[in-house]
This record gives sequence, structure tokens and C-alpha cells, in this order.
Amino acid sequence: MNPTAVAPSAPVEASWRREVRADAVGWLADHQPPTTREELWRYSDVDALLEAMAANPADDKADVDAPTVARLAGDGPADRLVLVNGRLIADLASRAGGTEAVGVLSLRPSDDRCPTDSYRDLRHDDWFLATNRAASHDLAVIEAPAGSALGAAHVVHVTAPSGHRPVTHHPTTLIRVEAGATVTVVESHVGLDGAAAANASTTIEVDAGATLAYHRVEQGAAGSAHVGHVSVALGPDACLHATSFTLGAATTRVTWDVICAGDGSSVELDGLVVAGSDDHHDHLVTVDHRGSDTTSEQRFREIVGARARAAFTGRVLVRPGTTGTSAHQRNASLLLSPTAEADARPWLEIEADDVRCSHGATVGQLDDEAVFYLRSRGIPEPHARQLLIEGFAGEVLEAVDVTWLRQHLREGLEQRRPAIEAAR
Amino acid sequence: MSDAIREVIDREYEFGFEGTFESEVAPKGLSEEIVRFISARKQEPDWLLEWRLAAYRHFLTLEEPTWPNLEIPPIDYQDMHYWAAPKPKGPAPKSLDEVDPEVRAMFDKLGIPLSEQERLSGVAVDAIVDSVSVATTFKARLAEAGVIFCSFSEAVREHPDLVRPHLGSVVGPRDNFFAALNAAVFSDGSFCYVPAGVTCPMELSTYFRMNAADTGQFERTLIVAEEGATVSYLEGCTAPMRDENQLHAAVVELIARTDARIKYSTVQNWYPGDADGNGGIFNFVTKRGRCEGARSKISWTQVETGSAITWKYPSVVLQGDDSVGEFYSVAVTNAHQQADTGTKMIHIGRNTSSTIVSKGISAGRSQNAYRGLVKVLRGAHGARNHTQCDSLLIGDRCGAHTFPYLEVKNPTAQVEHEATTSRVGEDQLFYCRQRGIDEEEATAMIVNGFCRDVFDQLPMEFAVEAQALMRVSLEGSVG
Amino acid sequence: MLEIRDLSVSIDGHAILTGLDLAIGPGEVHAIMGPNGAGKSTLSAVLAGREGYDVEGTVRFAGHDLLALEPEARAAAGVFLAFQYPTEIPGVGNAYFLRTSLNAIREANGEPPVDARSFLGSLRSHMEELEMDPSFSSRAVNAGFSGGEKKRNEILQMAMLEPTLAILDETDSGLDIDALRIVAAGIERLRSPERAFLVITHYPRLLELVRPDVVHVLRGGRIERSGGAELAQQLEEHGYGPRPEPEAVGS
Repeated sequence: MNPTAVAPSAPVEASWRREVRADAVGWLADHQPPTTREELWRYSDVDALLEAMAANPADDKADVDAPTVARLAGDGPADRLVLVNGRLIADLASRAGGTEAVGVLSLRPSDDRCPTDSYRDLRHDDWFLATNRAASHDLAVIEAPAGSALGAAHVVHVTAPSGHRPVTHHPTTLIRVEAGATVTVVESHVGLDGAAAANASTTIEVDAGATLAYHRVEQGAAGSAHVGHVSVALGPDACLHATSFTLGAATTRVTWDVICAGDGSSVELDGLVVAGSDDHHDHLVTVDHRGSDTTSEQRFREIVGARARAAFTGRVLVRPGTTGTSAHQRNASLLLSPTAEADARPWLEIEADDVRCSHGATVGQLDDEAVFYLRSRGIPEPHARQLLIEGFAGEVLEAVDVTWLRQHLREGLEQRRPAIEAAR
Repeated sequence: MSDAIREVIDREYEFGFEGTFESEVAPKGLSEEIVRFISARKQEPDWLLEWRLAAYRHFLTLEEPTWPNLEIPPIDYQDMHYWAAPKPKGPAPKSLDEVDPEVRAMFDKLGIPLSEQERLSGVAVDAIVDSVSVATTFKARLAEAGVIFCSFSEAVREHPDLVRPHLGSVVGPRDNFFAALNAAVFSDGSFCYVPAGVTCPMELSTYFRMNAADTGQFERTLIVAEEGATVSYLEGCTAPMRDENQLHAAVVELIARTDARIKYSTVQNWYPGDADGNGGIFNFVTKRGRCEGARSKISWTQVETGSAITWKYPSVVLQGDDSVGEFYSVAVTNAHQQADTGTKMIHIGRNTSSTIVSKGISAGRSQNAYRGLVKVLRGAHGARNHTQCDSLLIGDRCGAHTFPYLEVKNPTAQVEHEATTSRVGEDQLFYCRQRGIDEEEATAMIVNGFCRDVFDQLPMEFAVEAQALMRVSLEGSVG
Repeated sequence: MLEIRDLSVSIDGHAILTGLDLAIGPGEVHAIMGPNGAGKSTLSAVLAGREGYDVEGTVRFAGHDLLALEPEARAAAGVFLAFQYPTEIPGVGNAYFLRTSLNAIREANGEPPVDARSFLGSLRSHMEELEMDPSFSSRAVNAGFSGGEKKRNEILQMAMLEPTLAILDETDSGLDIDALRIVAAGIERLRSPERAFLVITHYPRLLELVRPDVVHVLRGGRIERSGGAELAQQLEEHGYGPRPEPEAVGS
């Protein structure tokens, strides 16, 4: 693909966006896409991702209606912002979340202020991220003003292939939670049937003492590819409760890059990955403890069935000169088929001594004892297995405190069941 | 933590003296001529020379690995000797009594008497100085049991039929950069063959000593345990204190047939360099065992306290059904030492199991990394792994890293990895001090307790030595 | 034997003890009671030499300026603290630990190390008295012990180390009735004219088994009142009562 061929959607772009775009284009001219020989890409299906992204840029011929959005992304009380193929569809926006004070914006062409500075600080170590910067259209922006206590905002990025033509696009969200504010943001990545690639980026800044509940849901169409990059910077005493769900698409690579920059900042991150059919999902989570007295808790789970492969790499970094770090990470993979594969790399990189860090990773199958126990209570084996799989996933779902979303995710899991259990 | 703990002062390396005997060395540099020189010097058969030359040619196409968490200064492979040996004072010694007294004196000073009556009376020792084996004790008694234990050179001469089919069969000459280098220029090492049904009547050990300056050591060890055989083997290593880095690139291959057991223990105490990070050994070692037969077992235990840089991953290929692999490791780094060490457990057979216990201790300005792979192949029905990987930090200028890789392709496998990182607890230190034990003693006690699971795996004679060694290694990191 | 004068302790600028005075003579058993957060455990930690406190005032103990000594030197001088939450030390055997401790204290006092036979003999008999399972001695220090086992282990160490001042920090908390009786009997056995006890507790039930000579109420950062053994019973019945000077702390 050629990112420079993508025309900006707004007639006049803000100067900072033009700079970011130019920087990224320049960087891409000097760099090649990653290969699996690179340690952090070792378990990714990079070729499939690149092939999907080589498709034509998506156009703005969106044929998506509100019921479709509700079906794909769930529906509940939230201020909703819908972007199709990277373009804001104003008709699909709704206000029901009690977040009147949240500035829910799309691209503001003439606004010379970037809501999240870290969007501009290009960390040019990621080809996909640079490509996003070079080629993205409208930006979904959520801003919670200082001290506000708000309800839920819902950003829906829809990938919509037109006809049988594969498309690629670059959904982008910026979230800024100012000092002392509290807000919930749900970000859904969904797609209409057809070959497509989404190369998404979310930039999050949580200022001093603010709290963000952020739920990221990937439910792309079967056969699609998804690259996601979530960058989070936490200020002093800032707090992030996040969840990450990968329930759709055939090939994914989702990167979380969380920086506990401010002293006393904390993050809780729960993730669930469901891989069935021939899916190949790869998740890389880095929590970088740069401030003192920071805490992180990561719990990631994968359900891997059929001929799928799911990989998880979790990195905990504790920087020199910090004190009072507490970092814990747990990863569990449920491997359900003789043709599936699960890979895990729970890494700790510690450069300070006042730490309490731990990680644990397990790969296994359903507990035979538990299956037997349920069968002894009269539950047939397939059902018993299903209950246990639901239980395994359910512990992650419990971290979602948005009722309608939890219900939607439950249904999404149910729909994935045949794909997981196939070829067992 | 108190300021005192942050102070890292010079520590003593008690094996840093230099033997007084004369050495002869090959000219510096690496070339096909040097490979031929080494082979000729050892009067090797043609097939082995060809094997070396093929490895050398492949080596020329390789680059040093860059993936470890290590900062390795450039190594000039042309600026070292690939062959050095104590100068013989006459014909080769026919018995232990004829070993050069100066060489004997050095080993006495190292606490490894080359005599069959002394302290280590239950242990047979193959003593290797630089590129050659200078003595092997208890050969006669071992021969009675059918056990062959001798230097690699002797094995090539006397037992080519046992060496040739096994050489390079676990760690091939093209395996990696350092293994290829070793295959080209390996000098000496130990060979051990335990015939079917035999339990080796005593502990076997090899003591490696790098003595000559500007010299690399490239030993090669091969242990074959036939069906139902059992052997326990231990290696120890020391080197003089020198300002220049010296390269040690060894290869160890283990083969365990059906129902065989091999226990391989290492107490590695190469010179680690001085408090400012000058000098010390680069310890780049490839060790791998193949559990070839059903119910075979290979167990690696290592206590790594020395070397400026350590790069080693003693591994087990679990090929036989119901075979067992174990890796118990204590790695201590202090001052400017760096270590990237761990293991690979490759599960191939059915119902194979592996256990990994790794204890890393970082002090001073050192960097200590565990890196381990647990791989369960498609057919490894019922594979089991448990990994416990703990790191302890002493001081806030060092690093502790954990890089496990779990790759599982069989849904009946159970793979579990647990890891923790913390510092020596202030509560623990205070508790000990309230009971009258000073800080340094308390730290040593807590650290030894932390490593207990690994020390318990060492043969008795060496467990005590390992604890003492660790105390010396950490000296100066506290108080 | 122990003389505390005008002891003030704060942590990160937050005052905990404010001018505490206390004197204990040889052979005496003093109990300190008081509401939660009164600073009882802080007092014991400061006497034993835990770091992290800002300490003012003087503490004389058997001719020593106690506050100037390192924790291990205080132990050598005869101060023993039975911890409220004994620390776990994985991999270090109980008997090995105790022998190291005993010999370190003996060495500091110019005495020869105790030989293994008599050490083990004395350890065994003390363990029997405390009704401890013999496997205790080879288990790692406090690792995986129940709360009651840990407390009993503290009393065992006290018996073996024979301190001149034993500070018991809520040794009765977490004990069931049988364990409390065993622990109390262990303390009673060690009572002697040369040995002083400072018993910190919330509950009078321990003090029914180990009769104190003096009971102090610690509140507002200092000793609020003192009395005989009967004071403990009064406190049980009437509570600590209203605070006489509500904002006295930090003055």
C-alpha cells in the first residue's frame, strides 16, 4: 500500500496533523515492515496482516444503518459516535449516555490543538502505527474536562467493504481525561462481511488523579485482519481500568503500551482472546513503570480451538530509580484442539530493587475433574465443557461494569462457539 | 535498604593465581591452518579433521547472536590463541605420579588433589588445563565396572567407534555461532561412556582450568548412558585474574538411552572480572541432552557465580516416551557481571515431563536474565512442565529479567510458569538482626535459603562448596 | 534495667509517641494495653531498632544507650522481640537459624559457640514443653506456618536465647485457647528475678495467665495511666473511657 496516496478527508487539516502525517510518511520511506525474525513479532502472522493491508483504501460509500451498528457493537445508554471506514457518520451518532459534558468530536479540521500530545510524539518503532498516522481519516476524540464525573461514551469503528472489493482503513481514537475527571469509554471495532483490514490506533492520556474505564472490543468480520495499537500515558495518581476483547477477525495483532509515568498511577488490564477456525491472534502488552509507587495488574486469557493459534506476550518494565513498584501479571490459555497452538511469553524486566513483581502463565485444557463433576450431576459432556469454557471467559467478563456491553460480549462469545469447538 | 547495601566493594577471587609451569601456545589467530594444527597436534584421524573443517567453513558464514540481554564488547577472534598446553617435561605421564609437580601444585591449590587417596576419594577427576587433559583419576576402578572415563582426545584414539556416531549428534556443528566455533577448534574435554545396566560406582567430574593468557578454551564433553545406565557428573571451572577478557566456548552433549539417567552438575566459577568490570571470562556455552529412550532422565543443575558474561541454556530434548528433563539453576551476578541463562525443554515423546527451577540473584551493577523455552510438539501427548523462576535483587543498580517462552501445540499438555521478583526483604533482615545476626550474615542466610531448592539437587560434597562460593560471590554487596 | 525517658517517635512527620516515660526493673512484668493505633507496636519496634522512624528521647538498657545500638547489638545485649507478625524466611531451617542466632549472640558476648549436641538437646526439650512437633526444627523459618505455630516459634526462640528483656508484641493474638495456655506457660517458665517482660496486648485473657506487676495504658502517644494487675480487668469491663485530651497528640 502507499499511504501517501490517501487524501485527507478534511478540506483544511490542522497544522499539527499535517506535521504528524508528513513525519510518518518520511519515516515509512526509510523503514520496512516487521518480520517474524524480530523478537516482538515472532508469533505474529505478519504476512497475512500485510497482505490484508495491501488492499485498496476504503472509500466513504458507507451503507450502514443504526440497527446494524447496534447488532454489531451492542446498544445501551452511551453517547455514541460511529465512524465507517474511518469517516464520521453524523446520522448514526446518538446521545444517551449522560456524558453531555464530554466533547465527542470527530476531526476538527481547523483546530490547532492536539487533544493528546502523545499522538504527536511519534514513537516510530512500529510500522503499522506509522502507517496509521500517515493514512488515517477522521479522529474520534473523547475529552473529559477536569473534575467532571461522566457516564459512558461509545466509539464504534465499522469496517465496511463495498461489494466484493477488499478494503483497508485506519480507525483512530484519541481519549483525554483531564485532572480529576472520571469517565467510561467503550471502543468497538466491528465489520460488515467481506475481506478487510483495520489498522487501528488509540491514544489515551489520563491526567493527575483522573480515572478512565476503557473497554476495547474487537469483533471484526470472519476473514478480516485487525491491527490495534493502544498507547496509554498515566499521570500522577491516575487510574486505568481497562479490558481488551478479541472475539472476531481471522488475523490480529493487538498491542497495548501502557506507561505508568506519574507517581502513584495504577492500571488494571483484563483481556480475553477467542481464537477458533484458522484464526491467528497475537497480543503484546507492555506495562512500563516509570513513576514510583505505581501498580499494575494484568490478567489475560485465551481460548484456542480448531486450527487456531493465539499468542500472548506480556512485558513488565520497571525503570531504574523508581521505588515501590507492584506489578502482577497472569496469563492462562485454554487449548481445546489437537490442531491449535498457544504461545505465551510473560516477561519481567526489572531495573530497580524496591519491587514486588510476579507473573504466572499456564497452558492447559479443561479440568477433567470438573468435567466429570458436572457430568455426575447429569450434565452431558458437551454442555459441561461449554459451561466450563463460559466460566473461564466469564471471569474476564466480570471486569466489565457496563451491563449492556457485558451482555453483548456474552452473545458474541456464544456466536463464536461453533468456531472454537470445531475439529475438537 | 540501608546505604551500606548499595556499596559494592572489591571482592576477592580466590582462584585468581596463575600456575607456575611453562605453557606452549599456538600462534594467535583463527584460520584453516590453525584448525589443521590443532587436529595434527592431537594426532586425529582424517574424518575428525574433515568434520572440523566443515564446521569451520560453516562458522565463517555465521554472525554472533544479538538476541540475548547482554552487552558483549567486540571480540577479536584473531587476537587469541586457540591452543595452549602445559609444556611437557618429558614423555607423557604414564601414571598420576608422573604428572608435572607444578601442575599438581596448582590443582592442590585449587583444592582438587590429583591423587586417589585424598579428600575427594569418592570422585573421579579429569583435570583439564587450557587445551589438554593432564590427568584422570580412578580410571582403573571405573574400568572394572565397564565405565570409560577419559579425556576426549584419548577417546578419539582409543574408542573411535563410540565417539564418531555420537559426536555432534545432539549439538550439531552448525547449531549456532559458538557451537560451530567449538566444533572447528575444540581442544580437549571429557568423554564418558556407561554401558547398559551399569550404575557408575562413583561421581565423575571434570575440572577445567584456563591458565595461559590470551587463550580461548573450547572443550567438548560427551556423555553416553546406555540402556539402564546411571551416571552423575560434575564440572568445576576457574581461571586466573587477568585484565583481558578470555573466551570460553564449550559444547556438552548428553545421550540417555532407555531407562538411563544422567545427572550433570556445574559449579561455574570462572574469573568474573574486577569490581570495575575489567577482564573476566566470556562463557558462551552450548549444553544439550537427548532423552532418547523411554523413561530416560536428564537433570541439569548449575551454580553460576563466575564469568564476566554468561550465555548458556542447558537443554533437554525429550524424545523418549515418559522421559524426564530437569533444570535447576542458581545464577549469581555481582559488580559488572552479565548473565543470560536458562534452558530449553523440547517435549516430543508422549507423557514427557520437565521441571525448571531457576533462582537469579543480582547485585552491584550486574544484569541477570533467565531465558527459557518450553516447547510442546504436536505429538507430545500428556506433556507436563512446571517452571518456577525467582529473582532476588540486592541493591538498586542491578537488573533482573525473566524471558520465558511457552509454545504449546498439544491440547493435553499442562504447562505452568510462575515467577517472582523482589529484593531481600527488609522484614527478613530485621527479623534476623533482632535475633543477633548481622546484616551480611543475614543476607547470606536469606540468599542461601532462597536457593535451597537448587542446592538440594547437588551432590553432597558440592552443595557445601556451592553455598560457600555464593557467599564469596556476594561479598561486598552488603555492608 | 530499662528506662525510657521522653520518647517521641514519628514516621513521615506523623507523630505516634509523644514523650513516653517508662521504667522496668529486673524481674518485673509490665503490660501495655491501649486502643488500636495507640503506638504499642511502634514502641516495640523502636526498642528493637527497626529503621524508618524518627526517634527522640533516651532509652537506657542495662548500661547501654539502647537507641545507639544496631538491632543485632541490642539482641546481643539481651533484648528479644517476639514479633506480632513473625517473618517467613523460605529455605532456611528453623534449627539452623536458631543456632546461628544463638552463636552470634554468644560470640558478641565473648562466649564460645554452643556445641551441636547440647544445642539440639536443649532445643528438643523446649519444643516438648511448647508441645511442638519435632518436624518443626527442620522446616523453614515460619514459612507455611499457621498463625499459632508462628507465635509458638517465637516463644521457642525466646526460651533458647534467654534474653534479659523480652518484649512480647501481641503474642496472644491469633491463638486459640489451648495454644494461649501453652504460650502463657512458656512465658511463666522463663520468669526469673533477672529477666524483665514487656507484654503488649489487647486482651486481658493473657494477663490472667501471665500476671503482670504493672499495667500501663498507652494512649495519645504516652502512658496515660498505670496500675496493678486489676487495671486490666477494669479496662475489660469499662473500656478505655473518653479521651481526656482529644488533641494532645503531636504537642
